[in-house]
Amino acid sequence: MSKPHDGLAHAARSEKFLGNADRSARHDAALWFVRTKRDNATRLVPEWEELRMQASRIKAHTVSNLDTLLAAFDDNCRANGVTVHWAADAAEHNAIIAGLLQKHGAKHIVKSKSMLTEECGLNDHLHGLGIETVDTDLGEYIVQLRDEPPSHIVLPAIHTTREDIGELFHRHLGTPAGNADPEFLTRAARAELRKKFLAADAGITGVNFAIAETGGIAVCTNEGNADIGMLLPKLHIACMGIEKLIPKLDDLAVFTRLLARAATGQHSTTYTSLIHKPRPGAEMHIVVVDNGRSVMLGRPEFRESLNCIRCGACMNTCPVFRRTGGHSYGSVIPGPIGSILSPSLDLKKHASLPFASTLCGSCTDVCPVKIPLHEQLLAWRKFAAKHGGVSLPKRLGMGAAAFVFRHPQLWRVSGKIGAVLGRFPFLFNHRLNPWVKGRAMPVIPPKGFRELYAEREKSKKKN
Amino acid sequence: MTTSRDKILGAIRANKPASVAHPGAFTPVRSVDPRATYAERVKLSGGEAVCLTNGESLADAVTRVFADCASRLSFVDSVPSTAAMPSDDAGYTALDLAVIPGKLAVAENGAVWVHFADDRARRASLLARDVALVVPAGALVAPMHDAFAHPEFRSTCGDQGVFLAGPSKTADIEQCLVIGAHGPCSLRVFLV
Amino acid sequence: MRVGLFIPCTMDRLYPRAAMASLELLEKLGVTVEYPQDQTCCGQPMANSGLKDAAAPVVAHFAKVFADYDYVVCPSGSCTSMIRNHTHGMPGETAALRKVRGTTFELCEFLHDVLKVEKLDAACPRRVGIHRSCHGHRELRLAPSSERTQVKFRGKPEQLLSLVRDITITELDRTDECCGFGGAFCVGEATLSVRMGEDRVADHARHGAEIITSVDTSCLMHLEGVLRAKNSPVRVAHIAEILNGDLA
Repeated sequence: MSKPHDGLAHAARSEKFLGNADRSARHDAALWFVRTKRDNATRLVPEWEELRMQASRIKAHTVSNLDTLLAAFDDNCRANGVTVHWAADAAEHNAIIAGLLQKHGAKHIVKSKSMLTEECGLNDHLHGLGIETVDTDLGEYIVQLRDEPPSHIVLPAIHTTREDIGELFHRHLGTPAGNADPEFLTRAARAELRKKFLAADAGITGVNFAIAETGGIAVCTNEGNADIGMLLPKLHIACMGIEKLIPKLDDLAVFTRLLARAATGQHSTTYTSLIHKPRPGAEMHIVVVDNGRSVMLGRPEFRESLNCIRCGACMNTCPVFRRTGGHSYGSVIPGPIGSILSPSLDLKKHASLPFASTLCGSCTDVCPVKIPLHEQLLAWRKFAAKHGGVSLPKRLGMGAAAFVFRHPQLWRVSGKIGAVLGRFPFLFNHRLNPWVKGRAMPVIPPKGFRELYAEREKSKKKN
Repeated sequence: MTTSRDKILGAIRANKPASVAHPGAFTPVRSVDPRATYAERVKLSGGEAVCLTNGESLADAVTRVFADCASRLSFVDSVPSTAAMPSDDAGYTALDLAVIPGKLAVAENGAVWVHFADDRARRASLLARDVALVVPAGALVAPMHDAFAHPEFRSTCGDQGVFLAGPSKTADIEQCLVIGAHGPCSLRVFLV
Repeated sequence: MRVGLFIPCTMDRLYPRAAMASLELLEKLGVTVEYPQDQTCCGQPMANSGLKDAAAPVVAHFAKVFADYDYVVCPSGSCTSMIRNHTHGMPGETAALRKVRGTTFELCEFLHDVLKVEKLDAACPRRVGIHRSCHGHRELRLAPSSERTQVKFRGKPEQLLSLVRDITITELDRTDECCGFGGAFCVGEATLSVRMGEDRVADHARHGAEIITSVDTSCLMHLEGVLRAKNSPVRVAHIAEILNGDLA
């Protein structure tokens, strides 16, 4: 069972993570390393910017024709012998899957990475029905054993250390205490999960890309866990958000060229599986989920966030995410894209997220599908301000400042007052002033530029 | 009664923006030396591109390279199996080597397009300890777009297939790369 | 050519010498510069808090003050980007605002694109690290961003700095990571803001920078706060001060 996210705002949680300076620095270095690998890979693709533009245009076409393309996808899947189910929300998604599993008498499920199933809380729902679900992606397996949510959509356990995992596997798998060797631990997980694969009644996977033209799905992994999981059991259920659709088979070439490079700096994921039909003697079902995506479709400033291919590049490049970790966001999907998607689902809970950013724009520049992420974060701030998401003291403070800025004489006077106050450091160097924890107050010179300019002009006139 | 499908499609219809045309085909930049790029990218993916030494047959090359693989299951005609076809899934996990035919090799990412006409070949490719892929040398293409346009892909992409680039791997423990996650621990490609 | 000088509110009050350097530099390059005394602020603090309605009159005031100039030059990437990129769709948009959106330039942009400066009479025999203030860097595209590996061109700040005698530009491990100021972020997420500033400062220190320069005094104010809290001998200087020869 996964612990629920607490109600604290990002700033409070990030304080905690930063409190362990060592861990924060290691987390930051690890994700910067992934960002560097991404840069190295893109350097070898001369048409990288053109690919991004192409992907963005394909997505613009897709979302503006999403109903007809989804209908075509449904028809083509059916013609291939694949059953498509439609879920308006998370509860329906869970009910459909539970229904399918119960119909097949499936009690032991293996699941590969699907942020959608996280979003819907599938594991908990199935657990409540006595159905055991094992997450087979190593990172997901680790956080499942730790009973916590993943902290990154591609690197779920990036917030843990090898010692953490060594201790975890010692407790759950009986590996020797103190053994923290990544290769040894991976082999231990391999052996344990192979048992689960062989005993599984059903396999649940995500969908990286769904192809309208042919009714196929593409599933991308490095570990091969999705492939084993959809191969051995006789029931395969694939879950996808409506925005995972791409129009044509040829378009898949564009997206597969972008995905792995943006995510981890690999030129391709090890496995890019393309599945059109169920295997002989087995059943394949696809659950197509809305859960707020059609609402996002109707928001012009945020619509492009539906381009997202869940690569995680924005998280790796974000200086805030790197230093404070995914759990600081308190949302299923963290980081820059999470800070845009989550307020749409629950503005009250996630109103602080668009402010957990300096709007540096690095995310916008790495996004392989050209979502203007930092612009959308700013747009959410405007939305939040209109709907009570900005605190009263801040509103009043900003309102006062705006008043001063509309009246030049007031601004001049306030400047003079500031210069006087600046001569009394005790006013600022105390615990209530958040600036001074680690920073010296700026020195306020006795004369600002305005006065210096006026003096200069006066002396010029004299001469 | 409105089904969820109707509800969802209705919501999309109500909220979608004005239609934007598909941008059309993409013009990639093509690699100058696909063969060299391919070998390099296979290596980057943790695999290895193997060249046949002078006069060597494919079967001999496979035996040479995988000298420590006692039980071998081959789906390539010219390479004989040394193990019987397993009767259950557990049997596949006992295999040392699976020899699988590929249709196309893609230079830009070191991937091989493998079509699984045979479910058993797919099992072997995932559960055996090591994997050898055999691809016709003339079926090497440069960017992915060429792979998608190639007749060998278009004629086989309609049921089950995979672009396979290297052995299975993970870096989920402190970003340390470990080759051999859930799938095979090594992968070699023979361009013949 | 009538040029109006817009000095950001923080620079006016806290870094008047950098403002003066901007003015002197433009005059040395033969530009007739006016500093309209009624200017106040570009509206960024309100806009970045999402308070578009509070920002709009401040922006309108800016537009009114600067409407009659051929160029508005601003020694700040973030203020310039605010006017050029973030004033669309504001209530009460005037013709004056539409005009200043097209005439407002950041200082390096103006020197590079309009004046096409090829010579400067300035020296700075120091090791100088360039801090890439985010708005100028990724919104005004003053220099190539590290993320867009295929977009290569020579950055405007470094082109201008290369005209300064005896200067050494130092390297960085992370060439364009954010300093952590971020407006209200600097107090809303104070610990994180300081951590980011400390990391920038440490990066410059590892490469032996004596001076950290940038196009934005808001970043420099934050970095200077960190430097002085650590009793570091490293100084900050706005790029205008270096180009004007103030640090010879």
